[in-house]
Amino acid sequence: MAKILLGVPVEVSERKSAAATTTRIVSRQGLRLGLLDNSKGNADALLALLAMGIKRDVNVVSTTERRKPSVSAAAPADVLEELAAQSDLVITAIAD
Amino acid sequence: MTTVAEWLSEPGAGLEVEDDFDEINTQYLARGWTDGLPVVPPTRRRIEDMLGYCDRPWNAPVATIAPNDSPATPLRIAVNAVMAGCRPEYFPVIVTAIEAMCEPAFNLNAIQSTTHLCAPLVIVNGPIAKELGINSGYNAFGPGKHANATIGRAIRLALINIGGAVPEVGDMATLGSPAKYSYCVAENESANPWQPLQVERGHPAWSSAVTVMGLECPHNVHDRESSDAEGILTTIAGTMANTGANDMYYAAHPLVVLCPEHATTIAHSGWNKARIKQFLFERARLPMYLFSKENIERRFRTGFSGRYATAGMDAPVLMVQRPEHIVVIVVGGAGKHSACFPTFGETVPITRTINTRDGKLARSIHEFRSSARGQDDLHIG
Repeated sequence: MAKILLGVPVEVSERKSAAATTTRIVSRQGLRLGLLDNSKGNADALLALLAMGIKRDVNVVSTTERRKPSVSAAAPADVLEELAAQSDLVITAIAD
Repeated sequence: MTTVAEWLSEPGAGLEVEDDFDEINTQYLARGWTDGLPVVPPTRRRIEDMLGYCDRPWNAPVATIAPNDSPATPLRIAVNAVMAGCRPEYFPVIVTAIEAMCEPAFNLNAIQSTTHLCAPLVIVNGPIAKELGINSGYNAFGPGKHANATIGRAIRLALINIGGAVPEVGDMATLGSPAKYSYCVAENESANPWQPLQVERGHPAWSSAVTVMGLECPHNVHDRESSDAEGILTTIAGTMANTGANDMYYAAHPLVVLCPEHATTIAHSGWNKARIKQFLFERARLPMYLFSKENIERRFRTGFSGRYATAGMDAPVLMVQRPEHIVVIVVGGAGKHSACFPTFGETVPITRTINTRDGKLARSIHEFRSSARGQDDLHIG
């Protein structure tokens, strides 16, 4: 059967692709941990559990904890910038 | 890249498949590029025809669609519009609606990816709504009219394919909603005793505009007994007030759709839109004791401590924070059925006029076609 060339409806985000391959070099001195609470009911409890597990296995030298003002909106840019600047690893939790 | 044919030959732009309707649909469905229904094959000719109603550069993004933040070019939107079965003259409405829902205040990122079942509703006002035959009468939110069905579907396909709202991947709705297949309606301006929506929101009566809102499905309000404004609006306020909505936890902008018969009765009582909204604001409330103790403690007493920290169990919980947040339009045919639409919560309605490339209000959809023919730079990449 003959072939036909059709349009592809999907657009690939360059930003998303770049984000997926981003790496961060962690100092041998220890891990700077960031925690972003999405403000749902049990996000704080889940984050605390994860932080406890990480601190058991890794030398955590600092912990920066922030909470989104609304569960339904993106974190403010200044919060994200602060977490990015002060953390080697940021965990964000969604939990009900 | 200078033509659609050349664009299709670029990496990621075209797919070569057997020229067979069933095989094409099998391939597109398997790749997750559809809404589950069969699609119209997006051939070069159909994409070109669709872009015949686009007066902007075809490969310059008009917006970036969340959650993937992917660029939405007219070319890529046109592929989705063809797949949805749109006529080319619908294209300016689709582009305007996508631009509107990508404004930050609309919060599309959350609307696309939330566990909530909301979907963007597209409300079209003005002469272009009539020109395109967008249904504002009987069954306006239901099936039967080509423009409503395919404009809404094209936007959904763009939200999936460009924005990345793929179910279970970028769209995490617990239940979803039939409104996610298509959600497009026109206001019944000839049956509206007040200003149509785009005029109320600051645009000329002769303008055409698109308003997008992040909403649940319609919830029917049947009232054939009430004979004045207060009676009908009492029934509507009672329907707006419910314990499971998102509205009372945010500065929600809920939609109230009045059927023409209810609107006429309310207008005959001498009420304008401001009075309608004030009444609904005051009456759409529930006593706190109707909510669960956990919601009272965590969402009201903690989340809204300024209002509810020490409030008694009989204290009224507001569904709407300000009267002017309520959006009132007139839609439908004969009968005494209006509707309430709870919202996603953290979203604001956005209205955009349908403009030609030079920023002027379009008086007819055909202005897009004629201006496209007169410009030589449209195809240039």
